[in-house]
Amino acid sequence: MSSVGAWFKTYLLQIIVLILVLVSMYGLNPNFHVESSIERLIPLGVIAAGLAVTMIAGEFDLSIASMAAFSGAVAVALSGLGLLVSVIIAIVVGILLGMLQGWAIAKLGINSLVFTVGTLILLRGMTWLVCNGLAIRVDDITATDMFKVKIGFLTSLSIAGLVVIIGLGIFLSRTRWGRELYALGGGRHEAIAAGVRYNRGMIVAFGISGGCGALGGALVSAKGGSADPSALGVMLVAALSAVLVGGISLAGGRGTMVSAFLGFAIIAMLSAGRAGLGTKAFVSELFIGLLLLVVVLFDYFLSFVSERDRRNKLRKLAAAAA
Amino acid sequence: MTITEKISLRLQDQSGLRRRTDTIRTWALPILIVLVFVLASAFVPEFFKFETIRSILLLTSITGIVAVGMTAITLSGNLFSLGVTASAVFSGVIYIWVGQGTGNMFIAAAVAIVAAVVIGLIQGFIVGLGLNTVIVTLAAGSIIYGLTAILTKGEVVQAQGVSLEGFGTFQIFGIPLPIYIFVIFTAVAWFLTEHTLIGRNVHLLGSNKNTARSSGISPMGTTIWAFTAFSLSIGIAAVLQASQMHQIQADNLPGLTMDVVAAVLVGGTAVTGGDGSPIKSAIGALFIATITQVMVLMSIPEGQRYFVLGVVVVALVVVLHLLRKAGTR
Amino acid sequence: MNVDAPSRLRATGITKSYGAVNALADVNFELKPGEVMALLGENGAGKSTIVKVISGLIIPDTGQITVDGEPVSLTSVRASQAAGIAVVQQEFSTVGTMSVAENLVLGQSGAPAWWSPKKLNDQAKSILARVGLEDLDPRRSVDTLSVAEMQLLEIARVLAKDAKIIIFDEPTAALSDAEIVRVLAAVKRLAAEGRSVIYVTHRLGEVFEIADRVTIFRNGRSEAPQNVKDLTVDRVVELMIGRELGHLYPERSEKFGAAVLEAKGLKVPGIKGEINLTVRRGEILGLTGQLGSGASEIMKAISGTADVLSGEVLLDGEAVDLRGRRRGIIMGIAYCSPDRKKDGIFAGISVRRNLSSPWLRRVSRVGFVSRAQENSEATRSASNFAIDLSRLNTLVGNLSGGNQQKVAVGKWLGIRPRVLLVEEPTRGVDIGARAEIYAQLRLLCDSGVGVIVASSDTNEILGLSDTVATYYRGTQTANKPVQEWTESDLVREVMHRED
Repeated sequence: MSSVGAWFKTYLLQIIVLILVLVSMYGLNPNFHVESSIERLIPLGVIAAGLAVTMIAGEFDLSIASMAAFSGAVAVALSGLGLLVSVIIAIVVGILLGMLQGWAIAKLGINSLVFTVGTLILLRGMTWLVCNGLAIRVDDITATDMFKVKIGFLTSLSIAGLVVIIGLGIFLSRTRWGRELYALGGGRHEAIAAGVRYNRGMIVAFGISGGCGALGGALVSAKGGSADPSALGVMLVAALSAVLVGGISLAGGRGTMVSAFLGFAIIAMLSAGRAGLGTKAFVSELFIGLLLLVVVLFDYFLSFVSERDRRNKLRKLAAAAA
Repeated sequence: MTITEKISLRLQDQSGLRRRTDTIRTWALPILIVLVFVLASAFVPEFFKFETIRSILLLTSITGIVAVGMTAITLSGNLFSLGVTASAVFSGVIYIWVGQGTGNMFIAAAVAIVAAVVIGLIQGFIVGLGLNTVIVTLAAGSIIYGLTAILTKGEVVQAQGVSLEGFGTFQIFGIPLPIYIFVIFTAVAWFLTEHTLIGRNVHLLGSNKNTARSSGISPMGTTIWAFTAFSLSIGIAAVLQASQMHQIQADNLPGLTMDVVAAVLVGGTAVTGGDGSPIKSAIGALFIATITQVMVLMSIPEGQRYFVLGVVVVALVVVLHLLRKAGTR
Repeated sequence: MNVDAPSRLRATGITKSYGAVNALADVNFELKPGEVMALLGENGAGKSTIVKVISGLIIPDTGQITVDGEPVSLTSVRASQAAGIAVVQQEFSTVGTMSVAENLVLGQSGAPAWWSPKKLNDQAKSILARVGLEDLDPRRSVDTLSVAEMQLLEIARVLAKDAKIIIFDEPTAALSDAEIVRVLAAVKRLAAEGRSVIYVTHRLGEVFEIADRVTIFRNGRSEAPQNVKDLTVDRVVELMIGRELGHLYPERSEKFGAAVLEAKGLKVPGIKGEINLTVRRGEILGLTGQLGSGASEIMKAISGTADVLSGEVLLDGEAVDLRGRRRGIIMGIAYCSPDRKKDGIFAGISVRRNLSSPWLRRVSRVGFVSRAQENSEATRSASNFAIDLSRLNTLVGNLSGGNQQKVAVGKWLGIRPRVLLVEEPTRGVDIGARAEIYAQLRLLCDSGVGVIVASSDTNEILGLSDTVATYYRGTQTANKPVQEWTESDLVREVMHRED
């Protein structure tokens, strides 16, 4: 099987959905611009990428959206040092906090889903503390201008986000540490028996997740020049939907950055499209939910069919040998 | 080796240790609540008053009822449902509409609860097929939310000219009805878990799905029952909430899902299944509500309250996890 | 192999106990450079325990180990790997979702930081050729491979390391003849390179083909190693058994009723040809064979846990539909799996509730469980199986292996079974509990239940059963009343088919 053909087949479902959404969006709204809708939501893409990494490793980082909010707040609060500097600080803090989470989860042997439910509340509280309960703004709004410089239809911020996503893609598919994450997710016992270091894998996965969350949040705040303690509340659901629609398996060990990006593109187009149509936000939520269910049921149906085929094949073999 | 493995290796006396850790796990939270209560009464003005206690209990009721219901899902090994808010709001909307249409709040309550159970059963069936609970409930939540918003056109739904507040405001001995319902619901849930075939099967399924299957327990049937119990709790909570607020809107109750999940976790029910009880989740909800109210009385701003809550949840979850691991082979 | 060369590995005075069970009692083990040392012994004799000690998975209670004269502390897998020891395990260490090429480098300490597919695939091809898998596309994901290919891949993984001591733990269990030839050739090549190989097996033919010496384990103790060329099959078998049957096994009543379960023309995945079996009331039928022989597959099919491709099963003369465990239970077929941790017990639940789990419905009315009835029935089951009645509230996970097994088997009493199928009834169980379990199985049988026991422990099968059927590589090789068997016949039948 040629590799182009194989590549196509892996992402077939997502590509079909993507085309359908694209066509319907253009059909419904002649003013729809796919580039700007995706560009505006790159932060969501970055967060989805981070979520994908932990899921591939067989874990869950529910706190990623709260990390984004926290980072945004830190970036704005420290903007007196220069916005670029404060953004970088926020991202570094995010990576460190993420690594700490990963280390704790590995050392305690605790379920990451349970742990990150707690830390998601914790981080949201820390966001409130930094903001002192109010939306905060940078002192000098012109500082955000450098982030809005456009190259083509992409702002410099979006380019940064895209670079990170592509970088993660390369990391996951070509480096040893990245592939070890797949091993930990696809067969944890076997991977550890083979010698993969579980602790390091967790620290790496959650460090990346924290970093992506921080980057996403910092991107939003840097562009808008403000941070809000209750911001990005729906980010988690959107990111989760993006990742699942894109085809990343909850079981771990499967999916790529391409899957995450395709899923993000679908979700982004749906959201932007309905915003362009002037309909309310809940319409896109409805469709996202339906899409999620369809993808998941389709997956289940496929495995059900292949299992049934396998049984029938065995029966035929047995009958023939008689 | 993880810290938990080191701890269990070091402490070799298994059965005695098990009893000790079990006792600590069961009584830690109630003792903590009593401790907070005593400290608050001593140091926080306005705490030791009937109105304060009552509002704590009222705060607990809605989250508590759903937490008790969610326990069934967690016990069965199905983690949790992330679609609580959407189903609750939907049910609340049904309550107000039917109440408006019939003028009778009992009929309205019945229909609202049935509606919640129906959408819960569908989710339960899909989960019973083998699909992941988190995704299914998340997707269902989005769909239900969207439907609710479309049906209500995003507007606030109010009961015009009909009084539907009875459930929320009716008082016996000065204590509002929701609190009674919370207590009764918890007691009934506990009884069903301990004394019915279904309750036992839920426990067994969560403890070890393979063994359950080979013992003749049907994962599909048991999961559907767990979701039924859960949906009932959502319906009841929704009716009580809608009664209290006199109105409902698609965007309401945004934090409910997380509050409920936190209550179950803090209460000590194991997320892997087979270990826990509805009473623990009820106590978890009570604990969270107590701390929240104490902080409100101490004039601690919302952000810091959130932070303290986060620290408490993380700390308790970690400690309970360590205790549980240390007490088993 | 140079007879006078110093030892590559020397273990002295190794002891390991699990509570009352002595897995290893003062074991001495020695290995020379460039030799193939076979490990023989029945299940529970200590072979797998000593292997786990050497590979760092288990820390012994006493004893010392030296490698090339230097004392080593093999307290972890990593330590043992650092000492130059590699293991081809029975449980796979490959990740199904990843490709063959990737699995070959996974977790290796010298692996590169950058994994280009082309380089990995090229590397893979040369390693795969050494186990005869040169036709395997290294880009395939491991979950598309057959069990045999996965086993060869496991061996290839080890070859990719540069170990001084390589342990093979029953590597040919699932392989065809042609594949076994490849494995044995690979082993010989390793020894020729100067490495030392420990080869654990149940196949006497392989021992005689590639081993230089053999160490025989029995009851947790080891015999001094012997040169293979000084041994015959008979002598080896003699050294392996030699345990008196003793009072471990209860007396047989030899009163059989009508046939309670008959399998006719049964076709099951993993078995060549058709299975015909009969169990009478009051009879214990023993099925024995090594891993992959088919005994286990038959049990799973009859219990409803695995597919039946064709043929029929009759219970008391009536044909039954065996899809799914639930139906089996309703009809009175009880099944105890060989892996109680996986699906035999509820570790986090009390003994009483474990015992009642398959028959809760019977003590419930209108959906409400009658605690009183549950308690009395559970107490009865517990006392029948000599489970300490004061521990009914203890969590099963906190009991000893023997008591856990008693719960796993005892819980079926309450369904009033017609047939009880048990696989590996005393795996991981101490002597005392074993005797109790055997006594109860016999009592149950005498009360009119048909019992089928499948076990890889030939001594157990011989001591317990009324009739013994043997299996080898997917076919039934014999089916005779127990009086017509001797232990050495049985061992030979099960292990040494090729002459």
